[in-house]
Amino acid sequence: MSSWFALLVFPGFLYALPMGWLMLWVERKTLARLQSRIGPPFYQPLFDFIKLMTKEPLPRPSQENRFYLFLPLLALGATLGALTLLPVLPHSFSLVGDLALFIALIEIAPICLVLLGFLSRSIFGQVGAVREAVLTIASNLPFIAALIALAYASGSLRLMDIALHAPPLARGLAVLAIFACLPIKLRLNPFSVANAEQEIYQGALTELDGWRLGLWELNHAVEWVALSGLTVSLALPWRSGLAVLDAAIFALLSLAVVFLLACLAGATARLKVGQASRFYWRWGFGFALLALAVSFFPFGG
Amino acid sequence: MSILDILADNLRQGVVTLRYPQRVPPPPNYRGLVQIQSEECVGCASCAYVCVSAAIQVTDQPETYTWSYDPGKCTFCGRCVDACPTHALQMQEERPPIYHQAQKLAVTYRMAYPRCEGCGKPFKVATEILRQRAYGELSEQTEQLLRLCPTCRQKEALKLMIEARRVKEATQ
Ligand code: SF4
Ligand code: SF4
Repeated sequence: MSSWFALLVFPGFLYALPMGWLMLWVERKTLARLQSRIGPPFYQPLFDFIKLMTKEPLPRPSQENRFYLFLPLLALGATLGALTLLPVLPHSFSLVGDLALFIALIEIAPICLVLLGFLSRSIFGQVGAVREAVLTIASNLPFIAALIALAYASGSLRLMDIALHAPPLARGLAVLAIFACLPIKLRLNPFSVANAEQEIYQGALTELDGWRLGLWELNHAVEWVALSGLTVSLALPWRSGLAVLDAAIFALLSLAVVFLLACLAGATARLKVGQASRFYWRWGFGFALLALAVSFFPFGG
Repeated sequence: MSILDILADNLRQGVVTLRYPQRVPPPPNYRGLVQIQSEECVGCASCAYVCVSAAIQVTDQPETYTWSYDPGKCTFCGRCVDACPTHALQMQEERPPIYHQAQKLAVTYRMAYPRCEGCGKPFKVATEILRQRAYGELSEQTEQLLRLCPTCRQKEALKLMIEARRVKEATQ
């Protein structure tokens, strides 16, 4: 299948947009039910987006305006690009070494967020930016180590080969390490330190308003699809070959990952930045190291 | 109680929030929209003076004054109600309605200053409550004086003093 299909239809734009909003809704609804609230109706994320996009933005100096347009758009484009590379359909478009490209693209949004925070010249924005930077480093250590373990164990840098051929033990450990990184990458409790609403007013997003925030929220929705999708597509060693069936299984399992993450967020409280990064250095990296060890020294191999 | 127990309890208990337009009834002494009884108001503008969010404004014209209130700016602090010397202000005990247009609930009252019983000119009067608070029980004569504008009141008081002196001199 062509790269355009992957970018624009599945698992790209056409799939990611409704799915991202659905995931945001599943997260909010699950949290609401855990807290005995009704929660929003399923179309709420879409309406939020429309509302943000139609709001009259605050006037800003043109230099700042350019960055506020450019950074969310860059983040959105990069995240969509990363999503395109997910190995969902067996005969879909893939590149040699798309694993490295995926890591590069998925890391652009956090960098944009850090820049947005520093650009805001607000104390909350800057604190948020620093926290985001610290936590990105902390979570990327196990994240990238787990991906390296998978690549080594399956002998390829191509995501589809990794998904189909990684040995079970290394795969299990690596997927666990990747899953453990999701709350920090999606800025969820207990690791929602960088975008803490109550303490630092959403951190780096403090100064975003109107369509600028709308674009960022859209990027966040696509991040949900990409990261939950990565976990699912790497966890599943098997593809039916029937595109519709594979896509449906992928979508359902991705939603299940979102549900699990929302339950985790509902059951935990925000950690301090030191605690959060210690967790990743100890536990996340622990899993990733095990995965590395298993893939470099396979049992019986 | 661990967080898991709390979550289990929450799930068992089900949803406790309401779907709009249902709303939880407000508690007693709830501070809702500010309302004015215009016949009690004397236009002193104390309410506007204490209102930090400038939700109440009182503007003076020669014969009338306007009292306006914009709930969109109001923080429902109740300071205006406390400050009003004539108890002309109250707060509704119901929740304000939800509205979609700015200024929809804003109200403006235009009130005429009472006229002087002597010359007929409009003037700021001290209401019954204020008079009682300042002077206690008043004689009929003082009551009459207070219904005059300051100029007429001075003239009338002067007349009364001269009259009294004349009576005093005649009796001596
Ligand atoms: S309640 Fe407070 S904010 Fe509202 S009008 Fe009165 S003084 Fe102003
Ligand atoms: S404080 Fe009372 S009497 Fe004075 S203007 Fe306000 S409402 Fe009228």
